[in-house]
Amino acid sequence: MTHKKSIAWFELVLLVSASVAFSYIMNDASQGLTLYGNDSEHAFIVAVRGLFIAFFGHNLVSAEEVLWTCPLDKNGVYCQEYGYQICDGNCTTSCIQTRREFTSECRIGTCIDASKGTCTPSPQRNCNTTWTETPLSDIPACRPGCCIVGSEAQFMSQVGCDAWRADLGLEDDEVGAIFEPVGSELECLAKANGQEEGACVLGIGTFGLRNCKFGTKEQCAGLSGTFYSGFLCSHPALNTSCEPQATTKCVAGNDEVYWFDSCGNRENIYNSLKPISFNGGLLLSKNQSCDLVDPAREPNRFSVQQKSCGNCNYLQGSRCGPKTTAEFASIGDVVCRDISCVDETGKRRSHGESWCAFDSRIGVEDEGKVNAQRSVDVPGSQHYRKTCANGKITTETCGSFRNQICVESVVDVPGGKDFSEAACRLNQWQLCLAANQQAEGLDDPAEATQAVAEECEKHTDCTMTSIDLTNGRGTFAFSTCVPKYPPGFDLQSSANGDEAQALCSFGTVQCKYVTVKKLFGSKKKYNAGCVDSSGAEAMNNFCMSLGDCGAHINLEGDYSGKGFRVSTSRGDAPGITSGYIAGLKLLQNPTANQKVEPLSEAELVSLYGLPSDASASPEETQKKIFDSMMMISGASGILLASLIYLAPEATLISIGSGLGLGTSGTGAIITAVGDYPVLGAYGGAAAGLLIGAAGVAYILDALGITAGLDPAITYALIGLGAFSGAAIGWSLGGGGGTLLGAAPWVLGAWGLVALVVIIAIFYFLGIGKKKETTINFQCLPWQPPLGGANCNACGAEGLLCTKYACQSLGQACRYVEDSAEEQCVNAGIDDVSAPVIREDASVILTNYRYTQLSERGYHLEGPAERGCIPRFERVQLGIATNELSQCKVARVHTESFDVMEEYFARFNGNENPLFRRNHTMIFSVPSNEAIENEQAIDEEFDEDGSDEQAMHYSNLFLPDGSGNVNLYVRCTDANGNKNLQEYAINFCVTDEPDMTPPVIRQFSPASPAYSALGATERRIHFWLNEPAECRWSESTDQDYATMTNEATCATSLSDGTPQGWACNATLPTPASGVNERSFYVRCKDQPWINESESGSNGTRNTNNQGVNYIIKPTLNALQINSVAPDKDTIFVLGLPYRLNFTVTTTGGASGQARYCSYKNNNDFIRFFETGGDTHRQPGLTMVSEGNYSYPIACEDSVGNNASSEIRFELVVDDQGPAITRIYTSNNRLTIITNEHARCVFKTTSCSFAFANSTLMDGDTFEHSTPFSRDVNHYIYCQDSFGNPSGCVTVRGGTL
Amino acid sequence: MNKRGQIAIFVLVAVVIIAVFVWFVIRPRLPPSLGGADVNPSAYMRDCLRAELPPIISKLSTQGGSLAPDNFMTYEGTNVQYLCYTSEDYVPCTVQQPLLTTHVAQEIRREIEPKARSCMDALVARYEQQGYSVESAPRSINVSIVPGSIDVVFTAPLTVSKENAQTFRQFGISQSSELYDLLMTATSIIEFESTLGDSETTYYMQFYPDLKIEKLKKDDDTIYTLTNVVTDDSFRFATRSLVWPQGYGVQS
Repeated sequence: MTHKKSIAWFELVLLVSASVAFSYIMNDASQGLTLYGNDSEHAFIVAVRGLFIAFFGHNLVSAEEVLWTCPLDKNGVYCQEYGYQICDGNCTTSCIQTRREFTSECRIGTCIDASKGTCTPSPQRNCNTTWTETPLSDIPACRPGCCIVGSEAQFMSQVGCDAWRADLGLEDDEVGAIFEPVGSELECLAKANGQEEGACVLGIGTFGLRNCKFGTKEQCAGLSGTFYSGFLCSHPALNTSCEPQATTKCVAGNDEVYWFDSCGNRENIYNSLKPISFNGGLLLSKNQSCDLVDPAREPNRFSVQQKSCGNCNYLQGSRCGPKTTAEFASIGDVVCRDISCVDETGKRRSHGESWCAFDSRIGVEDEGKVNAQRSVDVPGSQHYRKTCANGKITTETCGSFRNQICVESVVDVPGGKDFSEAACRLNQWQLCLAANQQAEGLDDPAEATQAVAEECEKHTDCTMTSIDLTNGRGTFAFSTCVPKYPPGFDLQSSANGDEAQALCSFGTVQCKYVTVKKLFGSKKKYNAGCVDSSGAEAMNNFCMSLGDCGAHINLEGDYSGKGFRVSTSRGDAPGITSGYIAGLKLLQNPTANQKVEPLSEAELVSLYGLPSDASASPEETQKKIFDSMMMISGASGILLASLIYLAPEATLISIGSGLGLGTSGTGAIITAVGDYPVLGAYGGAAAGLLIGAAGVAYILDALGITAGLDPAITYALIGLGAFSGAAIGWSLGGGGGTLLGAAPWVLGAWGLVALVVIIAIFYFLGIGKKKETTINFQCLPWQPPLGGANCNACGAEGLLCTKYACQSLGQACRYVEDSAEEQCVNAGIDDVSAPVIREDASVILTNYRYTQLSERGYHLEGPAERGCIPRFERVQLGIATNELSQCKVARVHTESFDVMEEYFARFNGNENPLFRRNHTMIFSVPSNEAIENEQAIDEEFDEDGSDEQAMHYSNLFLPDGSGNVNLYVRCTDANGNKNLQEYAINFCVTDEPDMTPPVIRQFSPASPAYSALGATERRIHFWLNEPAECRWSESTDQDYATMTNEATCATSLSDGTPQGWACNATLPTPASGVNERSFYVRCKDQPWINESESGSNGTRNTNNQGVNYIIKPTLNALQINSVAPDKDTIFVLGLPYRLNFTVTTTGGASGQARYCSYKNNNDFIRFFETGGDTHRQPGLTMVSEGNYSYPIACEDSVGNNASSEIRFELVVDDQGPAITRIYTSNNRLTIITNEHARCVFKTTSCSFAFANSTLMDGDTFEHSTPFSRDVNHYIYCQDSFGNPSGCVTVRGGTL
Repeated sequence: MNKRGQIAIFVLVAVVIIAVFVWFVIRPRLPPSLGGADVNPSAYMRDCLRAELPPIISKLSTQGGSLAPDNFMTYEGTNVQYLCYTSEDYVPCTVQQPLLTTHVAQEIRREIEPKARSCMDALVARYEQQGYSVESAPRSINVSIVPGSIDVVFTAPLTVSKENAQTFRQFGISQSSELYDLLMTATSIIEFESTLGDSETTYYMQFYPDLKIEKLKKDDDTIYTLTNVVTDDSFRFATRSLVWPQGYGVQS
């Protein structure tokens, strides 16, 4: 075991290069959190993005960040990169103001230690020996080969081989004599086995008998003895002093038990039948020796046979070693030891075998079942790999948070035995969220779902899950791609908790439960599943599939429901049932044979960079850029998909509209009647029929009655309208006659009157009026149960206790690392005090202050009159606790913490249950008018004493009759110590009427925006501080009333987002040759006020000045100037080969980021360094020769794009140059090689080193040197990789 | 001689034998004594230093090859040096100690040199106390870790003279150890960690039956413990490479 540098090279690379490939993908993903505008996205996406900007923007990991290099940081770490702002602060010296690869001392090269025989990738400054910037894989002397010294062979580098020889005191041998390139370690070891062995008789010893040493012929020559090949020293004919079979021993490097003679010489493999083993004094091969059974297959027989046979078989699980009390040997102290293991299930495992272990159920349950499917990995659970080595089982984790998962495959080995191999591989859960990106831009829900499903199916670690809470009527149904093995979170880190909160929030969705008044019978209900327990359970299933989110259990089966909350804008919220919780608890125990699926062939092809002509995957035409928005947009794809289905009112409206005809159509028909009177009465009747039907449909729809009528009644009314219209039209068209005894126009007129009366009655009865109840399903990070009673259960079942597992067992569980025995302990066992609450002054905004401060609470004073809070203005307040705690808030007095429902930390309604010291609340208070409008709907709708309850907006604070808002707070610490007393926060809300026009808070993209080359329009988004309607004009700022272009805006109180109320508009882009196009936006608040009605209850406020917004064109097309590599053929010394891509671009929208991606298999993957004009992707790993093709796509942030391709053939050049021709001319010896090379010669022998020889002229194909016929020329050449040719001898006078 | 006299002689002889035996068994373990010019200074130095080496090797083996780790993680109460480290997420680590064997040898030398000098000073003092004239030249110490052993060679030319002069040049001790192989394996693992971000340890164990590798992932760190199952020699070190943080990877 002298040198172990290069073991299983190729296999190792295959196994772990996946991690590297994905490191770049993930880096892209993290870069994605540096955010920028994207026109095609939904407003909600921008809102979610805004959350990230607000909370995490300063902490992002980004390759685009300006990084400097610190040669030695304050932690003693060499050559680390830090953001330029913090680099000097972390560094012991001044930072080098560039990336590591551009510094001389920190650039990664290869450190070669010739004395120890090692080649190590290293920065120059860490290397005190020989350092070269050439990558290790490109240095011939560092690549593995077979080093043969005497009878031993080692698979190692040339450098290692030289060091080994030096250790042994050997002189330099001739070139290539003892170091040979070979393909594998086995091939190398085979070279060592060819040595001839036998007895070496040394001369006369005691009593006239001869001495003897057993060894190789070469060794014998060194001892000047006489070699008897195949003889044992105890062979009678040799007449030595050595008596046979004196004892048994193990032999270093061999597996078997051997007999040794009385002189200490090795003999044949031990067999208790001595004559057979002695074999007449001749060597007996392993194959000819006794048979020992496989201990894993026949343990009982093995225990018997190990007494009599020493022919251990390492591959079958036995090896020579000292016997223990459990082993048996008839002679001596060594025996063939059983090195197999018995696993936790009682199964025999061979030495070297590895398998997966789990501490809970994993993967997907009820796959394919709508609402029931869920990914079930339990918070705190991990995947483990167990290995059997030398009779002992070792367990290693695949890492916390399930970022790696364990895969296992079973292969058949000779003898019909199963042999399992397990490995921890990357959990590609990120790709599942990204797959939802496919829904963007697709308006048809079915089409969007299909696109997501197709992408989802490509990824082994992903699964489609479907939710349908319509109960047959409504639209709350969607399908999304979620991880099969959800990721975990740092469960007790408040800092990382924000991140967990962000991920889980993708499962936070709102369902609008709509009830509509009917003429007869009970109300129509849409999305009724949302107000049912089964709906809540379905949404929790969805939530827990996203990560450690939702209501779930821990490793001990303890349930914690703090990660899932349901609230409604009106009425009680549905909860999950005890039966559902019992089902969750079943997930605690793993099931037999559960396993992680291996990656598909297409995924492997993608990961390993196999050549394009080796890929068997189908061609995909769909462009999927793995852009920087992967995480956000991917995840928001869920939202997008949801939102498409989440607008029942939109659907209702479209149904109503579908029944009517456009006014222009009607007008056309009327015109036709006038122009073509020949149609006469029939034409008039036809036109009247259509007008009548359309008119009734339009009126019913406009008054909102349609939704409350049964279809039969609706069609009857439309039919009546059609009849009346037709009758009148007949008369107007000149038709005569009677109908039912009266003139047709009379009947038509009566019909119209009847219609008006019926519709008026319906209207005043409120038929068709609808009430919306918003059910907010909040998916939050799962929280461990309070206390720490079960901390000591960590690491049970023979699996390792890790910090992550420990944290899951209880809020008070702490993983203690600074002791000799790391353990999970209950840190709160002596803590009996509840948290102490006080104000948090750090979060208060300008113009606000805390007053009346006491240990019981405070009053928040705002900038409005009487120190009140203005309406529709973002307010921020906070509390701080003296220990990590979870706080709740109630709007009325309550008895205890446990009955309080809302968490204190919130962001405009999105709550946060995390344990933290600082708890912040951000909210706004709606205007009186907005509240009154909502209350009016409530009162009107509930006048029949229906089951609905009073308005209760979970995300809005409504003042009492005096304009005051009181909030009562209690907290609990991790040990369950809760405040008994409430901490009160009080503020008043101004009661002045809303006289303030709306405020546009933010545009996306910000002005000036750019349009893509050739684009005719650009979609923009903006947010208001209150619900409003907006319009825009071009070039000049106009009054709101004269603006003709309308933006689409959210107008309900419940539509508020953390950003405000969203609007979007599509603006025309500048024409060719125009420098910019200018727009003005104005808005008008209180959209619920119908100003045309007499006695309307208020006045709407309109902006008196428009907000200017500018769009500029792209002047120069985005172009790819160069790509590298740009060679048709790339020669490499060996595989795997790491390759760098570089692309340069120009043009595109001015000042906008430009991003390039390369297509690997079917996915476009963003370059590791991109965003400017030079785009780099380092370290692509190629593992085989072949033709490679990588399409390149570049795009700027406004949609300009360009494409190119990197195409090359990878050829391994591990052969030396061949000398194809030799001749003399003009007294010069000339040789021709078949590749570029350098050639040297000597005139003494072929035994010489390249460096100490005479170099011939020429370094391409032709090489020459002055020629003398008096001497021989011994020539050999090397190519650029150092591959040597064979030595060629040109004898004097021969040419 | 009468019977009583014979008995007395036998008893006397028995007492002497027992006393000699007891003396050999329970004699105090005295420091090596010069006892005159015929004492072997090499043996003296060996005995003086032999007990020093194992605790140093043991400490280095559990602390990642450094006596005072500066960039380390704490595992089971011990600071374990990172041999390959990156402070970033998603990227493979940078090798911190490419010349591991040389570094460990230097650490041993640094720790044992004061003791070696102290032993040499004691040796010189003992010679001088016995009336010898002692001449010594500048001293140096060299530690080499080679397959199968750790060799410490103390080069301290020493000339001792009274009637005749005798010169000694080097004093060496050799500790049987498989540390060299373990360091080579560690170097190989570090190479994979730095280039690929991870390593596969099963193959090492399959090829080398005497080697046991325990790999423990703890949060962002990986702790490797390499053990020769025959000799129980071990070497432990830590890496932080290709870290996949929880969730999106927003740094705390």
